[in-house]
Amino acid sequence: MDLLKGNYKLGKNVKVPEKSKAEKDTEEFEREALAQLGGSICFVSKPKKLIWDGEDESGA
Amino acid sequence: MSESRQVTDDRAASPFGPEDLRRVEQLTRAETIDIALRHAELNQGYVRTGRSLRDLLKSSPAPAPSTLVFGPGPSNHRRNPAAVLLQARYAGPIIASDGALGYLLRRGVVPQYVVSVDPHPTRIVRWYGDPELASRRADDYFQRQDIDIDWQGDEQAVNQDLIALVNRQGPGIKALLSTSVAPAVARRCLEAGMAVYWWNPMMDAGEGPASLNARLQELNPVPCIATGGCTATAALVMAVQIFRPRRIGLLGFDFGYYPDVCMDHTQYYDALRVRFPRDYERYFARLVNPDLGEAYLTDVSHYCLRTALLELLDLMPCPVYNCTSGGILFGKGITTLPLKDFLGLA
Repeated sequence: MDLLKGNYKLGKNVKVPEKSKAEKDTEEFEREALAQLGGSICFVSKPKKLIWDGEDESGA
Repeated sequence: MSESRQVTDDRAASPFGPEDLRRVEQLTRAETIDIALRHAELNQGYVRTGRSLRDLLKSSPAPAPSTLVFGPGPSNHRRNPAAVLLQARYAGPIIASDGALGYLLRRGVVPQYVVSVDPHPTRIVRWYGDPELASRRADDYFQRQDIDIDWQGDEQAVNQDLIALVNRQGPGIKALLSTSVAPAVARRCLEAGMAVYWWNPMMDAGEGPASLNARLQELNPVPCIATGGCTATAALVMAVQIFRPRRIGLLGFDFGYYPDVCMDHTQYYDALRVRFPRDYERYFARLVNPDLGEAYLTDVSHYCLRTALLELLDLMPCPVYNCTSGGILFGKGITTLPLKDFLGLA
């Protein structure tokens, strides 16, 4: 909605319908559920070493 | 609820296709990386004024004969390895993932190190006792599953007890915190008197300036560590780096559930049901552990993490023994051994 802020006025009042509590709860549930699907799973990579310290080669 | 598929020996066939594994990883990658990077920024103050894992590695003690690493798997409660350790008067090093900390402390075993990686904004601090639990939105994550069944009682009372326990033992525990954790985790560890050592989670295989690893190091100049995608595996990598042991024993590394657990009481059930409402059951499977002769329930997320650990074993400089006595971690590079036998190795 911030994009509509400007130097003009709308001809009529526009009401943005509020989401129902059930809709909000569902969205929140889905967001939470998706977040927990990953946990730290996104850090799965196939590294060539166990530790990398920038320019220092202190790998195992 | 229909029965999940059963696979008798994963050495020959995976219960999930490579496409399933890739799909699950990709689905959450962007969201989790964003939050991890945000936390890495928010933790900059703590890291700047704190210690780096590099400092710990430089002052590492002489190599240990053996080291135990605790994951948070349900076998901790089912098999109770803490009782075996107490009976054997085990005095060697123990590194615990955060999800195993409460289990160990309540049974009188104090690990020298605890590891946290997961960037979840509210859940991870719970493993240390959450001072703000009473004001948080209700979350049945801890009560509906069997990672730590101690939470299945009165969670406010359990939380208060854990806060007191962690505060009492904290000064004797070093917290190895990934820069991806919520700042509340760092705050809690410091309040409990733990010495905190910081590291970055390896987010990609790249080392060039465009890599996520380099971006993390730019934010916080501490070493990047391979995590295998979960805290337990990160703790295993830490054990190798810090103690350089001749052998490592794993406990609570289940990557699955006991056969009597229903799908809807598992860690990733809600997530899989929301994402795949029509066919979420295909992301569960029963896998026979040939070393134990028992079938365990697992899901695609756990299987993905288990695969990542097995892939890291090639980089391990010492033999790895799985003393969990449950779950689906078996295969090349893993020796299944009861804890008592592991402790008896010369």
